Amino acid sequence: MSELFANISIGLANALTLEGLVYCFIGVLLGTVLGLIPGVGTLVALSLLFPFTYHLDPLPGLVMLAGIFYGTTYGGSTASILLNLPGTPANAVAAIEGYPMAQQGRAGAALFLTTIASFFGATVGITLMMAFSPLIVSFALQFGPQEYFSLMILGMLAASVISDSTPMKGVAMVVVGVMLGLVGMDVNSGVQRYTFGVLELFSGLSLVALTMGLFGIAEIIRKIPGSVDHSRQIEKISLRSMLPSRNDMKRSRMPLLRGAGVGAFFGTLPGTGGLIASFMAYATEKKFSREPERFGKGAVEGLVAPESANNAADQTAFIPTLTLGIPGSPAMAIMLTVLIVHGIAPGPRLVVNEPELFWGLIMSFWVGNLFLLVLNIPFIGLWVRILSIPFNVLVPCIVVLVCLGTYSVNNNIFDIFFVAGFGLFGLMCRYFAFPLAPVVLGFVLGPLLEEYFRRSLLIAGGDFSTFVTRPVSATFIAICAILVIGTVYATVRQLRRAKETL
Amino acid sequence: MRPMKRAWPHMHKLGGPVLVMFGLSYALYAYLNYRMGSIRSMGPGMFPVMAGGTLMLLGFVITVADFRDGTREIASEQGLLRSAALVLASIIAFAVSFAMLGLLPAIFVSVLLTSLADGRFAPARYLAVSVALSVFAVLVFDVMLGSNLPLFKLPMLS
Repeated sequence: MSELFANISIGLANALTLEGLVYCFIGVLLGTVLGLIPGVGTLVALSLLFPFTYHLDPLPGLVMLAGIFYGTTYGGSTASILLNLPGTPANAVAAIEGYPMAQQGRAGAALFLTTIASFFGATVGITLMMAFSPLIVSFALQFGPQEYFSLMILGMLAASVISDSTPMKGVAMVVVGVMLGLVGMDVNSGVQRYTFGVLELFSGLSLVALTMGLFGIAEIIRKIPGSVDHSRQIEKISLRSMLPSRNDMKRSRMPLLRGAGVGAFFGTLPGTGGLIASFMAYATEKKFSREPERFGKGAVEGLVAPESANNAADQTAFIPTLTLGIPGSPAMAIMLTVLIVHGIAPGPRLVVNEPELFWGLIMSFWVGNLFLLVLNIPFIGLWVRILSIPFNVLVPCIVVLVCLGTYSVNNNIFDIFFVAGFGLFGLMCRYFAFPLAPVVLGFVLGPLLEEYFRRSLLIAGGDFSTFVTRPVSATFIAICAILVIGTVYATVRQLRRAKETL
Repeated sequence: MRPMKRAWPHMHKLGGPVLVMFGLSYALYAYLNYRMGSIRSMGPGMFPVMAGGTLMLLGFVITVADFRDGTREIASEQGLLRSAALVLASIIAFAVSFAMLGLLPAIFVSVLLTSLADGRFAPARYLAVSVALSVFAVLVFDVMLGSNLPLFKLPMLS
């Protein structure tokens, strides 16, 4: 217990510096604003802004990036409620109950309740993170390369299978990501792979160009045709209208708790994150409710539970990323890269060797969520106005920001051409209905995966059974097998059903 | 704009074959150019061959699955080609004009091209967005980050 307090004080000392507070505020502010805008989700926001954090020290850089990450979830619910358009996919569920509430003239109360729910969920998530991270670290310190390899396979498999409707394509895109990640010098032999003599490729493809191309450009291009102007749809929100009724408060209490629990659990699992967590929380509430017929017509339970869940998930998603060095989602993969760029090896040793960084970041979550509470309640009127910015003003801004951000990382114009190239690649993938997010996960994990694979087999003398004879690794492989079998079963059933209907 | 006529209705199902080709050429290139080594002590070629092979396998399964259910609804591509071409052109124009003329001309050129993307061009809005972005870029990069980007360049003089 005393150790926890020591860690908390280390964290606070590092989070409460002027620099820490300023970058935390900038992060959550940008997160809120970008999260608000439909079509600019968490991944777009992170891809646009993470090159700027390269110029900062590791801790303020991470604090700001994390603020952007969980800030988008706060902002995203505003668009869901007011426009019936989710600001980020994780807020899609909030629209089911939030938009009917807005149509009944209770938009203010809905916005107030989601902010409280978000804050509550985040609080639960951070507390769990503080309690469990040290335990996971002490467990993970005994991992060998076999465990890491199996865990990475599990993470990549889960991320592509669970979160997408066509699991096979998700897995294929992870593999494409891994293959792109291998471009550049092989650390073991010093051989240049797939560089074709191009000097700019010797240090590998740039993650900045990849994420900018896929999320900054390809996703935005797809949103241009048919984009509409929302400015007329939006009403003013007064502070008075935000006060929820006593009945709302009473109904929200248990859903808040259940939502946070569901969210915290799904956040730690690889590949699930806020989207799945909010859907599960909604389904749970509907099941628990004594009057399920109210759902879909503005039931507060169905609004606060998913919002509490996705914020709890946002925070607990940091647990595997920071304690094991294994990101469960593309957003977390970007977070991890920032560490690597600064020369900090992610993994359990990070928590032991750099307590200032680890605990400073966790403590900044408290600060950031308090900022968000303030930003989203008294200042909500300001953000509502951002929703009326027309998309055709936004697009040129995004494109210029993408070019400038990419250039600023290496002061290299060549990287901008790569953005255009990856943009085209992203558009082609979408044409073939291939998901883009798994590419980033594979890209970041690819080189690590190869490294652990080679090391495992070197230790085991070339014997593949080493992955299933060590108990921890075997457990991970077993979960992988269950995932694969489950997916194949579901796909076959789907195909059969499709055939029957034909 | 008129919806485009499709030359061949199965065009969007070619993703699987593309993956097979990509996996095959990736693995083959590694096999021919890099040392394979043994399973115990792998050379730089082994893992790429395995990755390429995995992708070929997945691509094959996807091809079979895609061609078996022909019911997938494809999103309308109306206007997508135009916005894609203009946005990609705008990025390339930014890079080229940035290298030759400096930051501010690059912003004006790039914003012009993207503003044309949705077919509702308004000159006043175009100027406002360009000026605002120029101010923002100078503030962030020159004042805050101090990275001294060349704002204006005369190609003849440099």
